[in-house]
Amino acid sequence: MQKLLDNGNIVIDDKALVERCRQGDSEAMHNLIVKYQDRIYNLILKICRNRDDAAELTQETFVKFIENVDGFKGKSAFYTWLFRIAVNLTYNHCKRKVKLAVHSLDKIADYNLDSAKKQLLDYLNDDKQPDPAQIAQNKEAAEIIYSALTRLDEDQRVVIVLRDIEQMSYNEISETLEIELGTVKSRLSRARSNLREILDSVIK
Amino acid sequence: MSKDNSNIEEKLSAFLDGELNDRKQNEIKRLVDHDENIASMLLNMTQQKKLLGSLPVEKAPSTLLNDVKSRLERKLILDDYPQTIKTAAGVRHLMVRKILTSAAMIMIPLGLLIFVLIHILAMPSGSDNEIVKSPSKSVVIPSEHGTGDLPAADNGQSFFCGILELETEDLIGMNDYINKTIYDIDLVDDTVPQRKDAESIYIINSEPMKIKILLNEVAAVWSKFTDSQMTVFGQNVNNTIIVEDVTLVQAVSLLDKKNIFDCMETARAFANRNSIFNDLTYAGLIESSSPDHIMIDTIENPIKPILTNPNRKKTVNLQNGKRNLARLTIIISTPE
Repeated sequence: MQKLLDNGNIVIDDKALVERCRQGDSEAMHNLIVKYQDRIYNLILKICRNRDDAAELTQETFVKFIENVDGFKGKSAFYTWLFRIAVNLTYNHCKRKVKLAVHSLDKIADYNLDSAKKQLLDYLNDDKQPDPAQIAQNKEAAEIIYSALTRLDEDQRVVIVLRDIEQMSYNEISETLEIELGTVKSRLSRARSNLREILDSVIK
Repeated sequence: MSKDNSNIEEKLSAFLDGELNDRKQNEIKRLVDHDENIASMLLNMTQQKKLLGSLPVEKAPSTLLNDVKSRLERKLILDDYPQTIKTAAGVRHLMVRKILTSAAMIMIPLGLLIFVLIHILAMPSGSDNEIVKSPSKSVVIPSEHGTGDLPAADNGQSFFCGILELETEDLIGMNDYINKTIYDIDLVDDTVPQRKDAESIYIINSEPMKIKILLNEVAAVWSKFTDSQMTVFGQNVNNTIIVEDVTLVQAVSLLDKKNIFDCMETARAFANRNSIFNDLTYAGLIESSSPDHIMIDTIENPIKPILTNPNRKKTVNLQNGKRNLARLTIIISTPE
């Protein structure tokens, strides 16, 4: 089905839009960019933790998508293909900027973030705590989480971002990263465990 | 972390994400219900997941769409467009090269095959010479031996093909004389001269009458030649008769024959005669300077030399317009 009804509006599915992109339809390109720009931007931002870099890499992702739209065979979902482009670009970018990421954590460790730390500590150990969104809205608390993420290996950081932030299924992660399902499972488990250890070391 | 712990964490992680099958899901539920540590691990995991999922979603920069468009346009104008042109030109160039190479690979062997076939079909006589035909006459490109395809004759028989080999101590003088004579009797266009270290070759394709005129002129210097030999060719190069110590009378006589069969018969007779004469001379039974051997005045119907004048070509009798071509190769060399 090409057209889906979404809140009364007609939404054309990705496959049809991609097909139109192939034929040089700029409106279809526009629609796809608008549809995915926030998700791609956030994905990259969560991985590389730099807004300028994230903006630049997001642009690059869409440029690559348009340049290589003929290479999309439709074997996987369009958005996993798009995310793969974004992840690969970000991987390469992170390899060049690994020292900056470590440096940013050192800076955070020096902050007087007692309140944020306590909030996080309480939340992680008690399920009767308030809505996590309230904590995440705390700028310092969010910064601690982001900093902890940046201390993870890139592979683990990406997999945890795709699962816990982007809410991708294991299959989708497997398609996006082109790795086995079992690898997704074990890598995600290690990523969660490591992230917890990092957070513990920061907030305790 | 122990392997068991790692295994349990992996199962808890998958349990949390709902990625386990029903049996394993129930197994983990029971484990969580009966083990506080595992329950605590699951709680931490759940809270952490919720926390990450609650992180604020930031809007992409509002300029993103325009930035992408600009970037594409910039790439198109500054990078991709010329690159595309160059790539297209390169691809075309490569294609043309590939096509030409393929064509050459096909055409060269094909051409060679056609050439060989034509060569075989055009040379029933088996001669090893090449013939380049023009509408008016045949020009023979001589082989090293001076043989080649026999000149075509209008009646298919009245042609002559032979090699007259002459040895002299005065190679330069004889060459000058032959050259001058060829020029005087207007045989230049019909003659292909070749020069080697101690050898001069004149391949003459012309009317028999003209060649006879040349030989008539050569009579004046015949005494300068210390040895002579005439090779006459029949229908093919394998059918040859060599007349050793040929006299000028004999050479002209052979040219006079009306057809190749008479020519070959006469050549055979001359060859036998000269051989017997040489044997008798060697045995001392006759003088070596036999009048018959040197008599040049016995040429039947000697041809008067044609005086050099601008109209001399018109004076040559072409036998009612027909060109009965003969080829005589004169090889003048110094004795070994």
